[in-house]
Amino acid sequence: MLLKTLKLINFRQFSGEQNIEFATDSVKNVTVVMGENGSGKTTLAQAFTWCLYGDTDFEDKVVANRALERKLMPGGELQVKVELNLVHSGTEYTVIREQLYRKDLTGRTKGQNTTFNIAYKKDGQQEFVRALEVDAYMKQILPKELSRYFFFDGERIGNMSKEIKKGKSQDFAQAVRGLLGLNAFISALEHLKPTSKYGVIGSYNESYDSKSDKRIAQYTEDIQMAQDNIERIDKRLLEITSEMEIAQDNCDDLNVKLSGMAETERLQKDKLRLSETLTKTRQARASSMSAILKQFNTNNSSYFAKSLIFKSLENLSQESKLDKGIPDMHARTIEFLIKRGFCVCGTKVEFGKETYNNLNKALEYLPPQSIGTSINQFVIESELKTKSSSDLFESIADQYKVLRDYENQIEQLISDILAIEKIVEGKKGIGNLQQDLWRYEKVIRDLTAERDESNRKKGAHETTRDRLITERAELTLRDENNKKIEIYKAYAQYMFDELSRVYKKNEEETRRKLERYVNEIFKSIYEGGMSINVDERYNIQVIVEDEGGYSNDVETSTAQSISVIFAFISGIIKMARENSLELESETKLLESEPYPLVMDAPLSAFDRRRIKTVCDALPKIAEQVIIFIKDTDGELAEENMGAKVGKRYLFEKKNEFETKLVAR
Amino acid sequence: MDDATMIRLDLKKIENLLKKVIIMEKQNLRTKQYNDPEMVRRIKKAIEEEVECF
Repeated sequence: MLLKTLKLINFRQFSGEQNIEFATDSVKNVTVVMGENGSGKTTLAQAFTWCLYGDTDFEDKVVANRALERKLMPGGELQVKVELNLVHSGTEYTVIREQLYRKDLTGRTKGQNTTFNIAYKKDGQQEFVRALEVDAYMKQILPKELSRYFFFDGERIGNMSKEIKKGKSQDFAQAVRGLLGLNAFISALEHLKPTSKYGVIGSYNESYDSKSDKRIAQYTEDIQMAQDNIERIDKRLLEITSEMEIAQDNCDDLNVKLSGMAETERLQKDKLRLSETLTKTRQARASSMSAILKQFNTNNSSYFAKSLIFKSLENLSQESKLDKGIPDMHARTIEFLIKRGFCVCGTKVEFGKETYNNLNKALEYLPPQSIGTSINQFVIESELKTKSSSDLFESIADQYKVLRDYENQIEQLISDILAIEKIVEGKKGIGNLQQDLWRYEKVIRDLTAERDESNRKKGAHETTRDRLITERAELTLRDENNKKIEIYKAYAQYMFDELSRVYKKNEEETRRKLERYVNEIFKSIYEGGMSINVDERYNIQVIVEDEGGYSNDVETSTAQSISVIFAFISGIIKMARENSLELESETKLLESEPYPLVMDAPLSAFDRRRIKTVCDALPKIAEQVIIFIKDTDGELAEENMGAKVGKRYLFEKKNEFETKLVAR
Repeated sequence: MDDATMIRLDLKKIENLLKKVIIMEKQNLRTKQYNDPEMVRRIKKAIEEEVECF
């Protein structure tokens, strides 16, 4: 397949009609399309994918030019079209995809289903492939499973790298085999296939004449039933394999996450422990604060009155009156003695006499008239109070120190908890992951059991089928007409077996050759003791061999990944090209097409030296190279591929919604 | 198994048939002239012709 021209009409920022013609010259086979970031390089690369398969990698699936779409009046329509002209197997094809956008009365624009057509030239006349056959044609021209390798996006390398290593479908392997020239084998095996009643062998099974023996029809029916069971089991076995791979991938991912989560789990436990400590410390702080306040409330008046009390006691101690009172004597006692007329000692108390006067004088120093006693009481209480509050300051100071310690602890705990939260933020709990892992491990166990049981059943059905076939042959070979059918079928079966054997041998040889080419190309781009292994499903493993000869599959860097993908697809292209260049021969077993490499930002992951190597290698390997590249890389590409560049274009970005393609 | 119920295959004929079928498939991959049921019919016809040919 060689790409000749691409026509874009209103496709995203390419408003109006824009055309690009690709270099198809065998010497100058490189087309360079240069532009600054955001000018439309990726869009142009995606235009191929949209045209061929009706899809893009853009999140926004609207492909209509936004500026024109906004200008639409209600009821207005906008046609988007991409037309790719290419040559495949000597026939010129035009692949056309169109989509009509219509603005409704509410002002919303909706895209209708795309229409897809393939036109080709036959005897100078243009004819269209029938609608039902366009997908089959597309599969022949370039299977979708492989398209992303030919329309290569250097900036989306991550997904490709994962995909190329693991998880490719059977369709992918089949598509690679096709490109490597094994299509004629694949078709012949498909047409002869004994398991399909529509194939050569199957249709012979259906054409026995049952008139000679009624049992033939019954045998045929039973054989078909056994065959249907085998096919059903085969189909399920394929599903089981695929489901097991998915479950195993999930287990691997979860194991990786869990090993990382062990640290998170430890931190979560630390956080829980710290949170508990924080709660306890806060309670202790509250108790401490409460005790301080209680003590302060109880003793603060005594404490603050202490200096006043001391001063008062000092003043009182200098006052002589204080000593003249009779202890425990009240005024009422004196008044009683005066009224009674004689003292306790028996002396008469008469008005105006000395005794009377002395008793009256004593009244001055006795309560309630005297404060002496109260002062005495005050002195006693003051002494008690000053004594009780004497250590208030020290006591509160000590308790406040404890309180400050609690405050510091709380501050530190909060800080530690926040730090842990920051680390574990967004990470799933280990519990969920562990449960997921157990679930997937159970899925694998169940699928393994189902696979073993299915294989057992399949074996039983195969034995039954083979026995029935032998028994039927005993009958059919006795009738002339049926014997002929049996003979034709035997030839067809032998052909199928022989073709399968030759195909397997060729496929193995082709794969080993591909592996050799991929390694040669990889080592020319990326040196460093690594090699590539291609397995039977065309999965890629990058192997590092250490000094002890131990080999191991390794994780690759971006530059390594891009080199692996380059090497893989270049290897396929090189082989396909070689097969197509082999001398034309009717008996040539392998036959394939040369293929182009269409690359968006292919050099962005490489340093200058590797860019030179890649630029040197690609035009030699691929029949046609089309590169969309940013201006700085583009200059390097042109510097290194100058003699090979046949067409040059520039993206002229007018605004976000309009880019023009200009030939340079 | 007696002679009447035995099938003898001519390996030369099988070799011819294999070449013929691969060529047919290759041509059809290029031209897309025949669909799958038509190709099955053509292969059957080729087998029957080759087997009947002495």
